[in-house]
Amino acid sequence: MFEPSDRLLLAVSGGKDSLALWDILIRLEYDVLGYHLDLGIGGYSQESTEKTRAFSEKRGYPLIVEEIAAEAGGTLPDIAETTRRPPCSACGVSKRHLFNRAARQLDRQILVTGHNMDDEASRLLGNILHWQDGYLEKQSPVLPADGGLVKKVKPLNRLTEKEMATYAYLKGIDYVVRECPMSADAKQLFYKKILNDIERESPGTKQSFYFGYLDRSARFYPQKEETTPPSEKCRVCGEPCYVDICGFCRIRMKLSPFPESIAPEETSDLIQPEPL
Amino acid sequence: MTEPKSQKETRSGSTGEETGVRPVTPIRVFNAQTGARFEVPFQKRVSGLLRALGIDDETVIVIQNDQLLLPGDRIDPGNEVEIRPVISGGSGQ
Repeated sequence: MFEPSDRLLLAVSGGKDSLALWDILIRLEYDVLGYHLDLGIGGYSQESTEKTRAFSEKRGYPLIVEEIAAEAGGTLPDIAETTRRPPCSACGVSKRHLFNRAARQLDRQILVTGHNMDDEASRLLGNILHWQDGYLEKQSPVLPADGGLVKKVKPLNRLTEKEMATYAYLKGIDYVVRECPMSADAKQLFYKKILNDIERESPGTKQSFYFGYLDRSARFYPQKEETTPPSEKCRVCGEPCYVDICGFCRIRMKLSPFPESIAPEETSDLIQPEPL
Repeated sequence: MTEPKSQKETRSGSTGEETGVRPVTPIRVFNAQTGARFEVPFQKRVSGLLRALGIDDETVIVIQNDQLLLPGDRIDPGNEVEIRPVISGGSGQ
């Protein structure tokens, strides 16, 4: 997935997976910078940011924090309400955009996320049920750099949610236990329940389903000889995208409309954190 | 936090004074995700407690007296049991 010399940007939510992964990567002496996005979901985000900052400060791990309200013009609840998107969809679009931008601005070669096996298996189930070819093609723990998109990796993809919670507890990691209040109806939770129900009746099925797919995915979706990087740059922010204006800027425009004809604007530049 | 009820209930549901059977303490439970505290009838082991609550063992970790408990471990009826769900959803980070 990556080499000891690689510069990693780790997306840290304050939950068990990302905090545990941060702990593991630092113990293994990787060059890793934490990045936390404050989603502005009331007390939940406040707790997430506080726990992430506390974890960083207690261990002396470098951390960058950004607020979605400052970048998008509104909190995640504002975005969901204004755009009428499902909250998890709006959250996903915003994170993909801001994580990639942060990695490029901070000169990090690889974006690391804490997705575990249960996350990946439930996502796979959802993508198969709806035959989302575009997502299935990219359902890999390693996505190479592509155009202006940095390389993305998921090192926890072989570990279960319970294993990560157990690790976090035994290492004394103080993480956010409560669930995001906006994901209560998330389909992913439903798919996880289905997979756990199947697993209880037929142990091993979840692993066999997910890893079986990874073994076969190259056959289903052969790697193209020529990569197809995003052909466009967003006319507004200049970030890579496949269309004229990227999804994140379309969200921003709905929150505070601005003329589509405007020239690409200066985006906020992140500054490397001082060593703690 | 709800304190345990007086130890009148027995396995048969009658009082100890009436039957002479040793009273059974209910188990105090804390759900760390919802913040809810409640009591359930005595269970000797973690597996029994989770079964009584209809919880899949793979979806939680169980903690008591600062120790992680496994399904076969005995429960100390004198202290609260924390049940900590491990499932998270949404878009992830």
